[in-house]
Amino acid sequence: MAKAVERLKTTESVDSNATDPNAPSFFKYEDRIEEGDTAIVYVCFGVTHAIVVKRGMTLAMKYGALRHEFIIGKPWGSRISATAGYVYLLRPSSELWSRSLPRRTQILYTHDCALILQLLEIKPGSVICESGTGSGSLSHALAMAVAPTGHLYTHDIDESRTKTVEQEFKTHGLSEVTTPVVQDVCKYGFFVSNACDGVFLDVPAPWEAIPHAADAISRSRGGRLVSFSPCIEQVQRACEAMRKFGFVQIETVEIVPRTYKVVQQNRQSLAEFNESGDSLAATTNFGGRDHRKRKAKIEENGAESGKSWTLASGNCTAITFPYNQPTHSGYLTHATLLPV
Amino acid sequence: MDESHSRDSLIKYGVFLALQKIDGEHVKVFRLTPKLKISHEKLKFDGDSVVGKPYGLFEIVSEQCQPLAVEKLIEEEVEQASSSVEPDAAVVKEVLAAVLKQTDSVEGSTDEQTAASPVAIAPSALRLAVDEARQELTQENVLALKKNGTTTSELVAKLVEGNKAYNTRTVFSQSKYIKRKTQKHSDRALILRPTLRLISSSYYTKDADRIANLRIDQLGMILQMAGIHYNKNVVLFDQTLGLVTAAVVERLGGKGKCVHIHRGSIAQSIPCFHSMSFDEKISSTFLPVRISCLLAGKQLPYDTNRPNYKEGPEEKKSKVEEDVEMNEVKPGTSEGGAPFYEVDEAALKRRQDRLDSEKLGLELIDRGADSLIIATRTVDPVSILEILYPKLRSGSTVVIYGPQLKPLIDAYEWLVKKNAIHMQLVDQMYRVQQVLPDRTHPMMSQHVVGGFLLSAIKAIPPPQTVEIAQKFENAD
Repeated sequence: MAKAVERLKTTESVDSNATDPNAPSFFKYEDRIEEGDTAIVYVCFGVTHAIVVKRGMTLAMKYGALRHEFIIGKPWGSRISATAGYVYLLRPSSELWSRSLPRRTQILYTHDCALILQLLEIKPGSVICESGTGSGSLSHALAMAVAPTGHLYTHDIDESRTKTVEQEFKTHGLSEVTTPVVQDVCKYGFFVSNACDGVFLDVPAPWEAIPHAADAISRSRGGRLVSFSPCIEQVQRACEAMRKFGFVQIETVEIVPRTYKVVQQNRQSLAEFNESGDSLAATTNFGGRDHRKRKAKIEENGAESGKSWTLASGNCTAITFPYNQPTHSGYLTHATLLPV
Repeated sequence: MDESHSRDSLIKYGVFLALQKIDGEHVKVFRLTPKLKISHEKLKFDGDSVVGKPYGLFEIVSEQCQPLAVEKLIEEEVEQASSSVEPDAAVVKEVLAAVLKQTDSVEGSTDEQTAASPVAIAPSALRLAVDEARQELTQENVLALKKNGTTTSELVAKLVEGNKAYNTRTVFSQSKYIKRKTQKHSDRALILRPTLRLISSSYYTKDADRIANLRIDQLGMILQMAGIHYNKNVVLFDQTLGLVTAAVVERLGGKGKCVHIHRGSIAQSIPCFHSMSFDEKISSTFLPVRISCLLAGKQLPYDTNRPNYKEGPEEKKSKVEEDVEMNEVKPGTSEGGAPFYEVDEAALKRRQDRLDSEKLGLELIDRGADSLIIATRTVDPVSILEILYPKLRSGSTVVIYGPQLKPLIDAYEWLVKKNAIHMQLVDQMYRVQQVLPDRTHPMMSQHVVGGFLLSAIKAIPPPQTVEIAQKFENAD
C-alpha cells in the first residue's frame, strides 16, 4: 500500500498540461493507438468489442476478421476496414467498457452507474468500498472516478470473478487505485474499518451488510451509503437497518431510462391521405399497392444501424425506440452517515 | 482568508451551508453571514447560533441551534422498532400520551370527541369541510407555543386535540396525520457542507427551470457519457447556473482542464459553482473563456472603459441565493470587502489572472479537447457545435443536454452529417419511493420534470462521407 502511494506521488508530479504518455491505458490520451492499449472496436450501434492490441492477434466479428497489426499506429476514432466491412476504433471509457465487457454476472448499466456515482458523492481522492464486484462494470466507473489519489476496495464471494477483475484492472492501469478482495461482507464485513467515504452494496441481503458498512465508513468524515436491490422487500428491510444504525437522509429512488430514435415526421393532410392513402405504407412497403414516387432514400454511410436517413432535414422528430426497453433494474436506496 | 478545508473544521461566517430538515423534502443552500435569520419549511433560527459548531445534526429550541447526537435518533428508532408492528408507533404513542395528559387536566372539551368516536365515518364524507375549519388551534396559537419552547410531540398533541375530525379518521389515517404534522413542525435539521447532490436537489426542487430542469440522475449521465475523470480536457457550455461546471471541476480533482464558456467579461451567474467553495487546487482547472473571444476566433483585450462589475440585464438578481453569489471575487480571496469598481491593484491582478487562464483555455480549444459538454437552456446547440466540434480531437465525446427535444434533434441531424458515431438520444424517469412497512409505493406526486440527453463520439470521417456532407450543406 505504502509503495502504491509513493508511486502515485511520482505520477502526480508529471506536468498536468501535457498528456501523460506513461498514463495507464484508460487514462491515456495519445493521438495514436499503440501496442498494449485497450481499444474498443465499434462495429455498429450496440455491438462493440474490447481488445488489447497485440501484434499477431486477430479479432473475428460480424464484419469478418480484423488483424491487430492494422490497428497499431492508427489515430483514435478512425475508421478501418475489416475483411467484410468497416469498424471504428475508440478510446476505452467506463461507458464503453460497460457495453463491451465479458459478462460473468448481471451487470449494472451506465444509467445506474451514473446515478450511483452521484449518490456516493464520489470524487478523486474518495475511498470507496463495493460489494459485490460481479463483472466489474461499476467497479471500473468507481475506480476511474476516485483515481489518482483515492482507492476502491471491491469485495466478492467468488474467487474466480475477483481474479478476473484484478487482471482487468491491471490491463487497464487501474490496479494502483483498486484492491479486489474475496470476502463475504454480510458475514465478515469490509476489508477496511473506519476509513472510507462511501459504501456501495449490491448483495442479496443488504440489511446484513449495513452494520458492517457503518463500521467501514470513516467516523471523522462520515460518508454515504448506496444500496442496489431489485426487490422492494429487500429495500424495506435495508431501510429499517439503515435507520437502526444511525443513517439519515434515507431515500429510495428508481430510474427508468428511455432511448429514442430520430425519424422523419409523419404528416399528411386529410386531402393527401384521401388521394394516396397512408404515407407510411408507401415507405415501409406494406399494403403493397400504389407505390409512391418517393425521393430516393439515401442510406447513411457508416452511421448507426437500423437508422435510415433521408435528405429532408429539419423535418425530423423522435420516437421511443426500440419498442421494448428495460423498465426495471433495481431500487437505489441511499443514505448519509454523519461524522461523530 | 484562505480556508483550510480540513473536514473537521467548524461552521464559521462566510461558508456555504446546506440545510435540510430531518425527513424534509427540500434542501436550502445559503451563505452564512452575521445576524442571518434563517427560515426553511416552518423552521426558524438564528444563523449566529450555528457558528463554531460542527456540521451535522441540530435541534432547534427557541430559534437556537443545538448540536444533537445521532444516538438520539437511533434510540428512538430502536424504541419504535421494538414497540410494535404498527409503523410509527413510538411517535404516535408519545403524542397520544401527551393528548391524554392534556385532556385529563382540561376536562370538558372531550364531549365532542366521545360523541364522534363511535361513529365510523368514511373519510370521504368529510372532504367537504375545509381543513382549517376543523382545526381549533390558530396559526398564532401554534407560533406562540413554538416560541415558548414547546417540543414537537407536545405541539402535535395539541394539534390532534384541536382537530375535530381526528376521531373520525381510520387508524392508518390517524397515524399518517400525526406523522405529517410531526414532520411539518419538526425541530430537527441537518446542517451540512454543500455537495453536488444537495445543491442539485436544492435548485431542482425549488426552481428547476433555472437549471434547465437538470436532475441529479441526468447530471450523472452527462459526466458518465462524457467520460469525465482526472486529467481530462473538457470544453463546456453551461446554462445551468454552474451546476455542470461544478460537477466537472469536482471530478477533475485539480488535474486536467475545464474550459467554461461564458457571456460577458467574467463568468457569472454560476452560484452552484461558488456554493461548492472549491479550494485553489481544485478550481485551478476552471478556465473561463469569453464567448466574444470564441466568436472572434482570438483573445480580445478587456474593454477598459467599462467597469466590469456590471454585465447586463441578467445581473439584476431576483433571488436571495444570487445575492450571496460572489460575483467578481474568486473563491478564496477576500470577499465582500472593497467595492468592485475601485480598480485597485488586486483587481488588476485578478484581471490578469483571468486573461492568463483564458489564454490557456483558448489554447486548449485550438489544440483539441477530449470532451465537449453542452448543457443548454435556450442556446441552440448547433450554433455551439459549429464553432467547437471541428476543433475536437477525434475519438472525443460529445454530450448535449437540454430541456427541449427539438434542438437536440437538430443537433442529432447535424452530428450525423459530420459522421459522429455511437449516438444516443435518451431521457429517463426518476421516481422516489415511499418506504414504510406494508405501505411501500411510489410517491403519489413528485417533481418529474427533466430534459433530454444526446451523446456521440467524434470519428474521423471517411473521404466519401465528406463529399456527402458537403452535398448536404449545399442542399440546405
